[in-house]
Amino acid sequence: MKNMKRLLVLAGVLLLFQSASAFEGFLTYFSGSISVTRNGISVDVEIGMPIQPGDVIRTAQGATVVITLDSATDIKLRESTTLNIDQVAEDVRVSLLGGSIFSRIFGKLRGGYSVSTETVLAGVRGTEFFIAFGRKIDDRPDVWLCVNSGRVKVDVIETGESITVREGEGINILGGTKLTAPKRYRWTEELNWNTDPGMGMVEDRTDLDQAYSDLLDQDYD
Amino acid sequence: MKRVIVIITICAFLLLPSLLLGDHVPETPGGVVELENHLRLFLKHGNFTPVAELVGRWEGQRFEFRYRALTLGSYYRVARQLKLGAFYRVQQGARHDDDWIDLDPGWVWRDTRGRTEQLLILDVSPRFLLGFLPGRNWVFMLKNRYLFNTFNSQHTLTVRPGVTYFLLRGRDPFLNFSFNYDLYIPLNYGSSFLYAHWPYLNVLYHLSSVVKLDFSAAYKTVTWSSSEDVIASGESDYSVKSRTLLFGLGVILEFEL
Repeated sequence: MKNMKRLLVLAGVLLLFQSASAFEGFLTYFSGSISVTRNGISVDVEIGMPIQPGDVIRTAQGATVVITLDSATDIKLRESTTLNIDQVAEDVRVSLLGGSIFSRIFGKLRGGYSVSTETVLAGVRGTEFFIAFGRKIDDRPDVWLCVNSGRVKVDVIETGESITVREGEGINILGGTKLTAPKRYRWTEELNWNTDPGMGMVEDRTDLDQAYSDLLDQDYD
Repeated sequence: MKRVIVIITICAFLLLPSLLLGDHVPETPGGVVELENHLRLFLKHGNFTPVAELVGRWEGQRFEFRYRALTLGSYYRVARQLKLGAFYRVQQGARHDDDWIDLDPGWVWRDTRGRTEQLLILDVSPRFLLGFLPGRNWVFMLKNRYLFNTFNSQHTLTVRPGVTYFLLRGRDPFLNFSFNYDLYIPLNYGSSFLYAHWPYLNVLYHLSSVVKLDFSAAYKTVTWSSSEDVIASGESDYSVKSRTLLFGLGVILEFEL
């Protein structure tokens, strides 16, 4: 009887331990100047440090960060980017507050994975995609999203419209609210999707201005 | 009698210009409409844009297919607001001052449709966004070209200021509206500062990212100066203006390599 009790307590402890370690996030790479803010306080940054729900990660110009969440998702932040780790329970949710990120789901997620901006929600189950703020031509900036593998469902929060973007396609959500037709964009072929420093360069320096027609580059005769 | 006097007066009035100027002066009838068609191919590759152009033109009072040209070359983007270009053109059916010839008797324009000419062309085209204008999609371009005709060693400078408004759909051009003024300046021929000039309006429709259709309308003025035959014959010099309405219809293909 005593042994049974001990076993039950041990199982309980193991279950608790599993719950407590249900979410694991780590900073796996960074270059340049970055900051991690936790509960309003800036924490020391080092490779291998844990990333927790509620953390806000910022990269300065020229900086790059890679974080791994739940041993299933890599997120690479380009320069001048601010990312909030919202929630990691059944689902992994992050908010892009500025700049651009790559997302790569390489393992089995417990639930779904979504990236939201002020106006757009992009949800996936097993894929690799890029999301970025574009130019601010209307009241709010454009939001660009392109998919390297898998599919991404994009919801516009304000209008309730949604669309699925397939592998190889990209979409520009004008002013963050107006969906356009997904299509292949030439400039996305230059994106560096690599999130593993061991596999080569991680930094992505693609000029996002290429996404827009350059009116000074138009010749017709 | 009265009727005869009226008829003689009308005939004299009609003949007066040639009586004053002589048969050696080319006629320049008004109200002539010409049509030009073109097919242009642009291949964008980094800062280079190779270009190929095929042009055909129906000209003159009899609306004959006369001028045709093939132009090959490339633009190179030196800076965001500046492109340079170099081109080679082969053409037939071009008309020059010296093509007004003395048949003795009578004067005619030489039929140059079978004559092949080769030109070397250099282009410098700075362009600027006119952000202060409403709509933010205005571009001013000053297209400058130097042409050297190896057939008659004529050097020509063309200057074309122009303004284009881009109507966007999403974030890409959908319709362009342009107003340009072309000035042809002869550097070693002709007796006037401007050999030809014309204002023209152009509308370009982006059917897709690859195919564009364009339509233009120009009011063209050409100044014909004394030909070699006229000078050799000892006849009086002349400088006459020919005015035509030139409509253009074309297809532009643009590929990104």
